[in-house]
Amino acid sequence: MTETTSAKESLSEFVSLTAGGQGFCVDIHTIREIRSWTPVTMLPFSEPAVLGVMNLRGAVIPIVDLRERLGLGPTPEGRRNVIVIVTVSNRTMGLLVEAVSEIISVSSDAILPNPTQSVETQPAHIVGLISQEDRMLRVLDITGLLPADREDAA
Amino acid sequence: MSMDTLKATFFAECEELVEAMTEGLSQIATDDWDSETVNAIFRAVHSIKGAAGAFGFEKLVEFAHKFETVLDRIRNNELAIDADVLRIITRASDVLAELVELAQVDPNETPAAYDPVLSELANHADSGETAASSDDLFAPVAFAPLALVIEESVAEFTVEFEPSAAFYRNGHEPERIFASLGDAVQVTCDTSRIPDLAELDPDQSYLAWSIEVHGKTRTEIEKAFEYVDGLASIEFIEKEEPAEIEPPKAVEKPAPPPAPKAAAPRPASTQTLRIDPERVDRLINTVGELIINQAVIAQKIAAGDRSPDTEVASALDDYRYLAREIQEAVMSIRAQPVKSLFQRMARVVREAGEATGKAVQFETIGETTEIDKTLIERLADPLTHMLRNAVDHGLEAPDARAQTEKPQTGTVTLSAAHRSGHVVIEVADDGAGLNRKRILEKAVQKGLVPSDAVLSDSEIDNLLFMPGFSTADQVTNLSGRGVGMDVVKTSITSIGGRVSISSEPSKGSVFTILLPLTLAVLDGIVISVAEETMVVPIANIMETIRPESDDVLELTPSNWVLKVRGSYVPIIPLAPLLGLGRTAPNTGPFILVEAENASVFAFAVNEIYDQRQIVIKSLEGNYGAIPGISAATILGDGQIALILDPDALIALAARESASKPRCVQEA
Repeated sequence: MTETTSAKESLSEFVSLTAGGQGFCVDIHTIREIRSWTPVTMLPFSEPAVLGVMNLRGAVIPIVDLRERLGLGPTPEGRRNVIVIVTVSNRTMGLLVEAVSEIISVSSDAILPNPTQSVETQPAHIVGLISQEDRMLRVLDITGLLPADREDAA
Repeated sequence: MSMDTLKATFFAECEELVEAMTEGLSQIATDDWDSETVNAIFRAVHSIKGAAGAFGFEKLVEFAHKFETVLDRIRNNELAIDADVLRIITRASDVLAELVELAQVDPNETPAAYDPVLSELANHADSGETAASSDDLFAPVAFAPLALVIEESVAEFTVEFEPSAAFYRNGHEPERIFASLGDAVQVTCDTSRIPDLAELDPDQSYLAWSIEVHGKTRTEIEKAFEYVDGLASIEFIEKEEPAEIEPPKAVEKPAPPPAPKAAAPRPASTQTLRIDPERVDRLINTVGELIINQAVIAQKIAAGDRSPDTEVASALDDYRYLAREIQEAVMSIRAQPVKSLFQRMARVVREAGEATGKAVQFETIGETTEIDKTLIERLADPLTHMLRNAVDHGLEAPDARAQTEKPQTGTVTLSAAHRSGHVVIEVADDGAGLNRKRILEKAVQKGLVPSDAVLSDSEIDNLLFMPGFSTADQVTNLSGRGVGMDVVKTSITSIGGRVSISSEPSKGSVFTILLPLTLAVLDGIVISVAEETMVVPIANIMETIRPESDDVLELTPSNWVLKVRGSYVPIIPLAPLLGLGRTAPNTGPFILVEAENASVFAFAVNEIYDQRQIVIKSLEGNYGAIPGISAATILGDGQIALILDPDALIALAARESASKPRCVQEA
């Protein structure tokens, strides 16, 4: 990943994407690549948002339906659906989204805090809001999207 | 085992120790350390000193001792690490490393910095001197070489090999066996029994071979014939070469350290290459990919409509063969004899014996058994625990033992062996055996099993592995560490192994660890469960069965059994268990697996395909553990298949039926 420079405070880059018809964006540093949809292998006992695992050049990575994960229902099959491969804290996963649109640069003051974050019921997946032209982009916290650790034996 | 080989081992180990020491120091230098770092350095220096004492490397011992004293003071917070101290211990470690180097050539030689550093160390060592020497378990003479393996002598063998017709019917190929014996073989074929063409029955076996093998031990040769046992007559004739056959000596006398011979040249033959394990891992991964790639090509060719070109097919076979060869070679880079581990364990047993006041004799078998280096490292903790247990709980207390007919000194045996694709490690004691009554009482008391439970002996034994089980009412300073056998089990399971117990009252207990040869590949049978392709490790499979429909019997709506040669085996339908559908036990094929406690279960699956060697891909790195699934693999078509963990599935099924007895019948 690129090293941070002094420009860090001023500008951050995000990739904007669409899931459930809504605009989201993800820190570009967490994104490894973007791939088209390929069939996955189902995992038993997984949460509904985990579609399964796929083979990424020899690595086994879980694919999470972003829309379902955010409680917006399963993503319908679509030809434009893509998988965004992200890596956070040494874990790699794929996010199924409806579309990926562009790379945006915003200064850090332009990222507004999520005003609903203090509300108990609101999941903390959205850590900020960016106004982009007439749209609002939700900044996603990828760490919170990782499939929960399945270590629930006994 | 000669002194020279011992020395070679010592120097190889010293390299590791010096590395550990240097690493610890660099951690201290970067201010990223804790008391364990100092302990690690101390242990490294201590181990070097201990072994050096056994060889009479006096300069090395003297220096290491001073160094150790200073470290001990740091460890006991009597001496703070400031820039000056750090400089001294860093220099000291350099001198120590150099001394080790020099000792390989001339143990009396010292580097230039020897004296100044030694005196600087002495300045810092003053007040700690007595403390360190008092707990010194490694006074030079105390290092009594334990009984080491008796290496089998390499000899000339002639093997008379006469396969039966069944040998060929089972698909064996004599050439394969000969090839596996290596290059140094001479094969003569006896064709004298071939009848005239008119009388020749092509299904009969007429050929016999006489194979001269050089430079292999009998065990190695037997291994080549391991799978054709009973299908051929095999006779070993050892050539008389008395010079080669040494009378096996069980124990070398703990001889006084021999006077070091001056200027012995460094043996060139024992040169080793030190490689960053990560590079080897990369190689192993890539070879794994290569094998997958071969499977992809094979599948592509097989998928083509045209009947495959025989030349292509044979070239592909060569490809597979070569890929396997490379794989084996790469694996062998990682393979290491368990000797160093066993030697470490000798110390554990000695210490445990001292701590408990029991006289213990430690015996090791199969120290040359080679296993993957990562496995060796990860075995150290569980083995330490098991050996301590064997001494502490396994062996009787001295007065109780005196009342038996057994010798006063208890024996703890640690053995390693290769057994059909696995490594078997056993920890055996000749103590009183498991007290099953007390174990059961304890488990009931702790609420681990209901008080009215009727358990078989092996089920009771396995209670030891349950989390929360510990016979803690007799805490000793050894076992009072709060680590139970469940931790042992978890750590063994995490490296793909299994632990089991067998015990006989008043004869002793044996804990057996069954490990895969490597962590990277396994042989498995590809199956499908409700449309999903999965793999069952062949190590767990007893057989596959396509039964007659009246062999599948219903006991209760949720309990079905399969009749196999007169006995009834419980059926576990995999699809509903894994949440992949609700198919009732059908007539479809079954896979018979053996559980840890030797009971047999039949997995109902949808389809059984072929047997393959697969590369294990962990799921836990990116996802997490899944109940009943041990890992994943990538099939020839690039799709991922899950690898089932039969033991976990059996446990899962047991829990399922216990927690919610299904009263709804699924037709």
